[in-house]
Amino acid sequence: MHVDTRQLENNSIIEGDICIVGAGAAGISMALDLKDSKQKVILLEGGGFHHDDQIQALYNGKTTGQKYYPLQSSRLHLFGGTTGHWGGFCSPFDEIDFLKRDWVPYSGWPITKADLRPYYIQANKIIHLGPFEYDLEYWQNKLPNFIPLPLDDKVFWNKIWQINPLRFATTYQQSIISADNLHLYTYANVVDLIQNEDLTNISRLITRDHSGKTHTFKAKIFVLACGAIQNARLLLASNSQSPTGIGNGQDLVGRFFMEHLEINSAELWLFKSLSTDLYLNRTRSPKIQAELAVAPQIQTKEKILNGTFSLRPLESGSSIQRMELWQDPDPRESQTKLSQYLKNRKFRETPRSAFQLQIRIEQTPNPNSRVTIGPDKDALGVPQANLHWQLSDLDKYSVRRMHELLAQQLGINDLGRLKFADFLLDPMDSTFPSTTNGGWHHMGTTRMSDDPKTGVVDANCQVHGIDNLFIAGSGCFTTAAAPNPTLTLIALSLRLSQFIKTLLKFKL
Amino acid sequence: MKRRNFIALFATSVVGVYLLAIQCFKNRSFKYNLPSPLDTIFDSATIHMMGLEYLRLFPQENRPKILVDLLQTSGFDEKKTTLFLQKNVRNDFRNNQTVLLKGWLLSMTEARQCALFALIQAK
Repeated sequence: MHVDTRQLENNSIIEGDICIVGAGAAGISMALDLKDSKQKVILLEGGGFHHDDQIQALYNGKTTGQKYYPLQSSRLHLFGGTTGHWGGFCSPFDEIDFLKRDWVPYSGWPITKADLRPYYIQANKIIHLGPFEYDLEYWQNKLPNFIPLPLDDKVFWNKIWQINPLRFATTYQQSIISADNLHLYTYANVVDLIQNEDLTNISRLITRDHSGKTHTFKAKIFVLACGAIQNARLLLASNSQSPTGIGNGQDLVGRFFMEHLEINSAELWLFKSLSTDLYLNRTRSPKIQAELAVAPQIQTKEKILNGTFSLRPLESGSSIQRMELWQDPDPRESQTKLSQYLKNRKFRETPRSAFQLQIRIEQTPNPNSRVTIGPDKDALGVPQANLHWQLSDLDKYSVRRMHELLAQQLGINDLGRLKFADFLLDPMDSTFPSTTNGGWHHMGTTRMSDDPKTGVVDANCQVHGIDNLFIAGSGCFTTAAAPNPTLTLIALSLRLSQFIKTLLKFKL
Repeated sequence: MKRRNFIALFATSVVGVYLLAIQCFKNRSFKYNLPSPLDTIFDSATIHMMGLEYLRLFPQENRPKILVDLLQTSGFDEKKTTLFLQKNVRNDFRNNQTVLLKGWLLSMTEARQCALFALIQAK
């Protein structure tokens, strides 16, 4: 069922069993998992089915610290969320990503990769990827010419990605609307979460639209699934009863904002041509490609973060970083500029022997990298989110060291040489240039920990101290890991969905 | 052998090696002293530039004889020298004996080869 809340009578009250706020990758995945269950599921989406300038402008906010994309264009505010323009890159996290690493402050999830495995398999299907197979050997048996660079795989191994930029809106709109127990409300922007008297429960949500209409949504269980920035914003802004915000007794909501650093970081020149489709393969569906990943034992020995290198054709002339192109507050304009640049690039005539390396690396969890709310409010009266993006010395050290290790492997094996980008030349410089790209991956602002002193949600994504409030998505990530977050955030959301089903079955 | 004759013979040998090194680089068909396999991705102008950059960073090695001594290739024939140097390049990477020249991470051996090339070219 679908309702445009703008058509409802003012001050309507809607009740259900589960209320999911946000219809992006996390919210839609949970709704699909709850489809045809006995629960009445309310799915709230602040936007509609198409871009709306007024709605998109609700995501406006300031950024400080390391230069970042405009907040208004970093996410899409409509049904389907940011899957409306994502690149579709999917790979599961590594086991080491969930472990406590003594050289990575605040690392260590309260769950393991094994806990997510059944949900990874389900997430793979939701994104219409191939089988849940991410080993090189499997794909070498399936696809021709998947020959890896002959590096020592105890130093660098080949991590597999499956790529499918599935648009959740067009793929799942009909399934959601036609399901008897799913009730989609569009233009339902949540402006406040109201707690019960002893502040242990959420009793209702308030939504508002641009005409001033407000509505009340009640449920047994509430799930915030609006993305890491918006989830934190809503918790902080709902401060009429808890002055520091809901779930924020330890001043952790909004902190530990993490991105992936995705930077054109070096040129790789091989002595002999590399005839392989492993790294640049873009011709199949699902598309499969590998990236060179630093081995966990090397991460441990060198005390560096987890990251990977992708290989791209070398451009002739200087390449432009995404951070320079994606600065228009209108996401469509930014996307157009980026697409035009990518389409008009010219490449050097060095086929298969020279490559642009792009590093993707996790960011050290940093409590000073954070989302806060400021005095400025959006058109619906909600304080805007402000982002202060801050990186750490370990981030730069890890980037540099990974390049040194790769160059070493290339040298030992007589394969080729690396030319480092300028920002890596000074080993004493721990800063990143303003052109440093993020991956548009927003993580960590409601991080997961068994201890409420170090996390906002527990191992089941339940907000500490609030019995019926859960968070879905990458805001729950304790660390960022190397790969793109979408596959894992969907897996985590499906795990949450299963937990909620169990909770409702046995408690109510 | 008398001491005087020994010194004269030694000096002659050193000069001989030096002159041989110069002659080797001047003879373009005699390529074994070009850093190999680096010369598959660098043209001679780039090797020259790398050499000058190395000498800027290590001015104390700004003599062909010093570089030849450091490369330890005197007395080898072409094939043996090439194999010896290539092995040293690999060992340099294994032992982190590397240097960053204009952004390129090179082994010390091949960086010295570039430097020697630059010096010989200048003569």
